[in-house]
Amino acid sequence: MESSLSDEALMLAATGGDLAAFEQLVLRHQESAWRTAYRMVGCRREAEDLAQEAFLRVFEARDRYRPTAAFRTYLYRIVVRLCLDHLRKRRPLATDGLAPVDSQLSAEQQAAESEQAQAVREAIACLPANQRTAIVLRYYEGLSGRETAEAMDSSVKAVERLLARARKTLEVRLGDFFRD
Amino acid sequence: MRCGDAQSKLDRFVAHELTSAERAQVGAHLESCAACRRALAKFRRLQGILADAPAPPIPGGFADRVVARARTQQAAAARSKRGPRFEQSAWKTIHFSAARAAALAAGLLLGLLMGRDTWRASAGPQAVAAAQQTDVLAAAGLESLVESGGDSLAHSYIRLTLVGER
Repeated sequence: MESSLSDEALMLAATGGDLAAFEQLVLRHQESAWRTAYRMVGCRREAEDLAQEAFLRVFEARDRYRPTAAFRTYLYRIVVRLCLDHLRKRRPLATDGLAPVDSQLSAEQQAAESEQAQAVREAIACLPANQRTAIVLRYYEGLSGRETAEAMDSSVKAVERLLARARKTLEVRLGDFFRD
Repeated sequence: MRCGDAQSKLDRFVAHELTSAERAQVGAHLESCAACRRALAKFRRLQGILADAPAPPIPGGFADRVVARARTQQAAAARSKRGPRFEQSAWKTIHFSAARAAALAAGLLLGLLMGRDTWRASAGPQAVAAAQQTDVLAAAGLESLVESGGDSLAHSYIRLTLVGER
């Protein structure tokens, strides 16, 4: 049953070992955590592992949780850190600088994906990891500039610069779609 | 304001996240700069293009799998908390009992040796030899434990304490 408690109240209940409260938090935020991880690493299976790991880190650290920042930002920060670590470890395998295209999409799913959507996915995958993170949090997850900076352990100005550079790259790569 | 500064603030300008002073500065720059107006139009177009690439749906049962793992983790943590404390107290009890048993055994052995030496000294070699022939305990070197008239272990102990008093 959906709880009316705030995220922070649920997290405090989870601190006392209340698994039902933790489950509510997972249900509320599973989509954003999974989506963020998917857009960062470009693979469904890896996104599932990373998003699961993020929630388990939250659960493990529940005794140390202090509701000083919004739970949502706290979770994004953990997801982002895990994804960046994962990408750093994977980097030697990506010889052409491209993040791997999702190997778990069926032929039908790939065909259904519009040409533009596929181009967007590939263009985002080509961005440096920190620019990709800023794009994902800001434009897909709808975080404010300040929340994006908090989730990235960075400053608002640094995020502004990352976004400006990323937008320039995307405008070049997606130039065909700017003409109509 | 330079074009670079204005363009880096475009997304916060569009999202109404700038302070009123910053917003006024960017707005004034946009009015006077065609290049930044084009950049703003491109930015709005890019937002539309990005929105046209939705992520696939989350795999079914995701939350159940996370909660199951959390439950396992919680149970393991509870076991590891309980385990060492129980083992510690069990070892403490065992150590204490062993120390008590050792002290008791040492006391008994000491009493036995003292009683035997006192009895041998007072009874003389003939009495010892006679006792060794008639009693199993005496044959085993524990003749001081043999009850023989007034020369029992108890009598020996009493004699020893009386000698000590004199």
